[in-house]
Amino acid sequence: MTYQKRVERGDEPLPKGQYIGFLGALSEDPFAALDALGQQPIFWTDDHNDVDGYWIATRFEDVRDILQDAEAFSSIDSQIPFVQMPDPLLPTETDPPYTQKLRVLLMPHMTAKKVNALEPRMHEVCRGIIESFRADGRCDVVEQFSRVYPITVFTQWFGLPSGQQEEFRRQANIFLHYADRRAEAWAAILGIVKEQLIEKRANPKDDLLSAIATGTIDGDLVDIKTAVQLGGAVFVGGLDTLPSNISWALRFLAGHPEHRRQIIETPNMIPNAVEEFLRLYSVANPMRRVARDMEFRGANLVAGDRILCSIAAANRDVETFGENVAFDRRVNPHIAFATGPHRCLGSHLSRHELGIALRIWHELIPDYRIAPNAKISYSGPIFAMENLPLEWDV
Amino acid sequence: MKLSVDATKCQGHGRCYALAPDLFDLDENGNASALETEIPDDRRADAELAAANCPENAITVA
Repeated sequence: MTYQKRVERGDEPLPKGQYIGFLGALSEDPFAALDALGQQPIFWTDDHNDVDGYWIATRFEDVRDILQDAEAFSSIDSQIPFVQMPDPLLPTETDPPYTQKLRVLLMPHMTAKKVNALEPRMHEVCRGIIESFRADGRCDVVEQFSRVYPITVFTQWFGLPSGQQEEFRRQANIFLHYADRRAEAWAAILGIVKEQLIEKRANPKDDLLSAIATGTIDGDLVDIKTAVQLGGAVFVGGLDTLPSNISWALRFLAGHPEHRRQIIETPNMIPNAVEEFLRLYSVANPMRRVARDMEFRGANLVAGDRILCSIAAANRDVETFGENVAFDRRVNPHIAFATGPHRCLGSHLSRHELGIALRIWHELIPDYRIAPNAKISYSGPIFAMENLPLEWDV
Repeated sequence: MKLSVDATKCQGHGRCYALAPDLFDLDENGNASALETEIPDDRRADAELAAANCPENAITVA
């Protein structure tokens, strides 16, 4: 079945190719492309490979209201490309009230207070990584820092043995960036998660996988299949998001010495800088499935239509946030971690790690620039740079 | 002045606690509540800042 509904307002959908699409390799910086597009009324696009079209929301109020209304905008059968995964991501691809029953298994291990306890480890890992290449005067931030630091912290907290980190990262990278190999990568990830869950059900420790393995839903021990899907979703959820955000932040700072100076001279501004970077570089842009025929903000939506919530565009809505990059922004109700019942559970972990990355990076390497003639590649669906060569004087 | 958090709207972003930890409490799941429902006027500005930064519009300052 194809979904050939158009906005019936006399507005034409954007010409094919104007919206960059967001799967696989991206030909340009996705945030710059979205800024050029600007905030639009909800529009239809066919601009992707061989799958049904979908709607795109770019205005802050539209995206916020869609994500807060789980009845009209379901998370079940919401993903594109519209390929049949063996099992849905949990709790991502559920609707309330089941969503909350799954989330409470995870939430106690993902609070800000719980994350605070990881701080010494974050510092140690972050510092060790940067010190390993500091004397070189250059690095590829993506490969040598952003995609190493969070995973190293994460896997210990998650409960994975250190010997399996490389394999996880490899499989997750395939899962996130190669749509045609996604199913096999996912199976590999779930296989490892399942093995760990069974072990932790028998010998629980104080980590997230143990909490999942021993959790209950409606009084019953969670079944292994559900536990595996939960573990898999948590694993994937943080794997390219935070690393991408770290890279985007450093790229910005490499080109803006005045903002860098603020971080160095006023480190207690770092939490604000974190919020501003989350706002500017919202890398995760979720889909929803329209639950019933409805007119919404001028678009005639039909039950079953998919709608992409461009959080990236919403958080750059000039009407809501103005045009400037401002670390001293007092009001910043960005929705980088979404809003509504699927608010990202990794939000506190991400904030903490990003803050520590900014602090320690600038303690060790306060002055740096993007390498001349750098050719940066971009990818999706999590908006990422595939490389970011920086250099500095030593 | 009255401060309240709508528990049906709170999704645990934690912005309120980050901005005004003396006004809000977070439970074991990270969901917020007002530490005191009656707060002094000199805390109004911070209470309103917390409310403005809540993506769920869950906080009321009256």
